[in-house]
Amino acid sequence: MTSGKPGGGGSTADMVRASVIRRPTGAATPVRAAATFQGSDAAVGAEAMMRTTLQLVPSLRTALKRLALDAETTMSGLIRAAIVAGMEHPDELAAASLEHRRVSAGARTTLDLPRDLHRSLKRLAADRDTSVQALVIAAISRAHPATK
Amino acid sequence: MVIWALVHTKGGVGKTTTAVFLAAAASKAGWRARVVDADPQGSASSWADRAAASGMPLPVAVTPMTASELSGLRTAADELVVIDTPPGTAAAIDAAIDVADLVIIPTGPRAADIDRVFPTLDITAHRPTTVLLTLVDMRTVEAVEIPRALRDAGVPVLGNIVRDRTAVERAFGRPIPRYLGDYSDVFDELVAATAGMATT
Repeated sequence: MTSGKPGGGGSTADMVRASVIRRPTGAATPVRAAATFQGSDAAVGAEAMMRTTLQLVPSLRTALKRLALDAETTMSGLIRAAIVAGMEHPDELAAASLEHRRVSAGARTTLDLPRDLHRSLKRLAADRDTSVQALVIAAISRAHPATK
Repeated sequence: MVIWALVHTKGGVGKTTTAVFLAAAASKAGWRARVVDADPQGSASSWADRAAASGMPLPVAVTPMTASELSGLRTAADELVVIDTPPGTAAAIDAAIDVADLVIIPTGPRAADIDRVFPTLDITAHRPTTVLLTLVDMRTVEAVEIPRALRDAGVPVLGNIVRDRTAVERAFGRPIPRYLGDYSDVFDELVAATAGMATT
């Protein structure tokens, strides 16, 4: 390679070069296009959060807010804990959710769930002919009977 | 050998045009150059075929390659290879980045193009990388503001830009125009900026 061609010697100031060419730094594992743009379970990772929308009747929402304040946590944190507890007995949770099916009223709120938990809920809802919304409401009712 | 890969995860930013024009600029400057077409759509290959059919072939060869073939890319010692990549085929993008001595991210000044520059920079973090602004309409505020904003954000941006010119827009499928316009300047800047860099 002769001077003046890429890879050869040059006279451009290093500062100018540095401003237009970003040199790789460190030895971090490269981010891959396959993982970044085409997505997969492995690429997304089990810790990724999935967002779902709930409708909570005002009385339940208010009760949850109060509980969250008393427990110094968030409403989402309470709901997630309730779902985790409920999913320890999925058959009972599914049965309890039946009375909450097709009940959609109240304020919309978003809930971020760990990917695995979200998937388990979706699967249970599909298998037992219920809905994620109904399962979540049932889980809240079971964990916090006072909110009924 | 030196390999430049044109990468942007969004389409319509001028990757194929830039690949062919940069290789043509290299050829015009007396270099041995060719284009590797890693885009399954085969736009660069189609361009070469049409130009050849018109009796005025491109000044550089265009060779189609798959992602797996890219990883075994072999070039001559004094050769510049410019790889044109697809916007959506991750395997080809990854393979092109891995073999490149320099990744060039051509991008238009539109918000949708710029938005995808940052994730594209993420996937090229392990290779020397620069950003080339293309399709720039000099009558707009973006012509000045976008390069400035990118530099302010720490993005490595070439000083030269490629203006939105009808001659370039119409070039597909035709012989390369004698006047390469902004691409000659871009090629010169890339040569200067990469001087002394390690090569494949």
